[in-house]
Amino acid sequence: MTGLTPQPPLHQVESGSMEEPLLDVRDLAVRYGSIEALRGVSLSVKAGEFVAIVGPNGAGKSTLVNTIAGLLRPARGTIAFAGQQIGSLSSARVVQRGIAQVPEGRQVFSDLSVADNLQLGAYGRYFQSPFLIDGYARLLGGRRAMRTDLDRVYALFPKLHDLRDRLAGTLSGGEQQMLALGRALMSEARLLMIDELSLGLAPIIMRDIAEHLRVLNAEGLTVLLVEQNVNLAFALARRVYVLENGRVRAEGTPEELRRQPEIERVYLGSPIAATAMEAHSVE
Amino acid sequence: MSEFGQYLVTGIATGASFALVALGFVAIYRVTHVVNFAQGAFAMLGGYVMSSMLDRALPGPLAALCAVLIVAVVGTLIGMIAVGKPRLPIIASLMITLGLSVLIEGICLLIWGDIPTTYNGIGTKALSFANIFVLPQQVVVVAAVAIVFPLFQLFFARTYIGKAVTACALNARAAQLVGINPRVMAFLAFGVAAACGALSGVLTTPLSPLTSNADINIAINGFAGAIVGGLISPAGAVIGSLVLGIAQTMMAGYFDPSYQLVVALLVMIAVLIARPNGLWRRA
Repeated sequence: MTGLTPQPPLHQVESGSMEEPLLDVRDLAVRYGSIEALRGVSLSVKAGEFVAIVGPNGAGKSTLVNTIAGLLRPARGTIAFAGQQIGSLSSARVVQRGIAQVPEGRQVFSDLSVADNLQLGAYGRYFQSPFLIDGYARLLGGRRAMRTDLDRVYALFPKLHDLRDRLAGTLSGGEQQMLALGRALMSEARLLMIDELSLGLAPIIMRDIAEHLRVLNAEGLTVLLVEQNVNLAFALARRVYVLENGRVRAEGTPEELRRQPEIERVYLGSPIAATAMEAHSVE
Repeated sequence: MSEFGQYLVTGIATGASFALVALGFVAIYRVTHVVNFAQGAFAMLGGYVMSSMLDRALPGPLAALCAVLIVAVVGTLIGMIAVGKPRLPIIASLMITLGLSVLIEGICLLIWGDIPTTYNGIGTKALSFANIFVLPQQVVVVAAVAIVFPLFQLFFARTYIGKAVTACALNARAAQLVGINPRVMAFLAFGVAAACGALSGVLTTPLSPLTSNADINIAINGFAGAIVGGLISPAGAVIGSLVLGIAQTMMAGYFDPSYQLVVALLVMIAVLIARPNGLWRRA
């Protein structure tokens, strides 16, 4: 292990124009049978940005990231990533393009060790076709790169190194969230999507992980955070989309949204909530 | 006492042949949650292909290798048909395997006819120890399980692809998010299962001549063994198969050979009612 020695970023640092959206979603509609979960959502994320999506339960937040990740098929609309359409790609292909997701509830591989979970995070980098022999050849050639990336994750989350031989299912919620983040980073993602970072985490753990995210973003990783905890989302993100009933209700910087009375009333509530927001702030 | 010892030894050999089929059920079920009704057909096909290879004067080991590889390819193709279509309901996949099993049965009848098929195994002179007789071919079957089972375990626990297959079994959605294609893993599982089944057929045909509907009995016995492990535990499947083999041989020896299949069905029903998840909870 490399310990806490400075490491180059694990993810791909975006050096492109800040004006070109890395992710561009246009008029996206998704249906579950007769129920329309997304009704023409448009949003964009520029390279290096930290964008949050907030909204109540059932607003379509998870549906949106799952569709971008290739787990769901859009009924209408387009998804472009780095200038290429990805709306019809499988989730495996989406990962290969550079989009990683930390799913809601972490969803670590419970009966595999922490180290195995992390190593499997790099699967899409090596196995890019159904021909497994082809992937194995790339894996054998890339063993050193895998080791280096693993060390970088351990440098970011030293606790995962201590727990590397433990079964992932035996970790605490916070440790599992670190593992899910580390697993996503192993894919050399250009865009990291996180679905409900704070779900089920103690505030102190949540703040710690949020701080890691802030550092990763400062190093150049593009982040799209789906979060029900509006205060946390406002504290972390530079831009926020408010989703309601499958539509984008508002969009802007946290400061701009706070100035909108309706958003302030519905999502941020009373001045007491604003105080709570300060407490959650990781700035 | 020697009678009991004889039944015990014969039962272990019988159970070992079930175990190879049971491991195939486990390999597929772990990844797809589909009970592969064609598993018995893989074993039957293995025996028939082996007999044809020997007819062409191929040496035994080479003929066995060819038979196992050919059936593994057939198994992979069956997997592609049964689980290749995205979002196909499990019940549809299950019915497809049943249909293909009947198709294989028909093809076997057309090619090899309805005359029982067999060939010589390794030696016909029984070995004796403490008044217990065992055929060399029975020793080979037990030895095959003793080799295949640890390899099976090592594959899933130690190899990168094996861990990816396990990841799919644990959480297919999370596996997709790291770039693993569950369908490719399912095809691999079908290939491995077919190879295990074929090996069983190759090794047991000298002990029990094949008929074109032999797959039904083979599948029932293998399934009953796998059920003991809840269809997910390889160790449970092997132990379950050995216990079943011994129970059947005792039943045939002390009572009536025609009740052998009844024992398998009773074991299956008892485990399904008492412990639907098998006697082994974990994979």
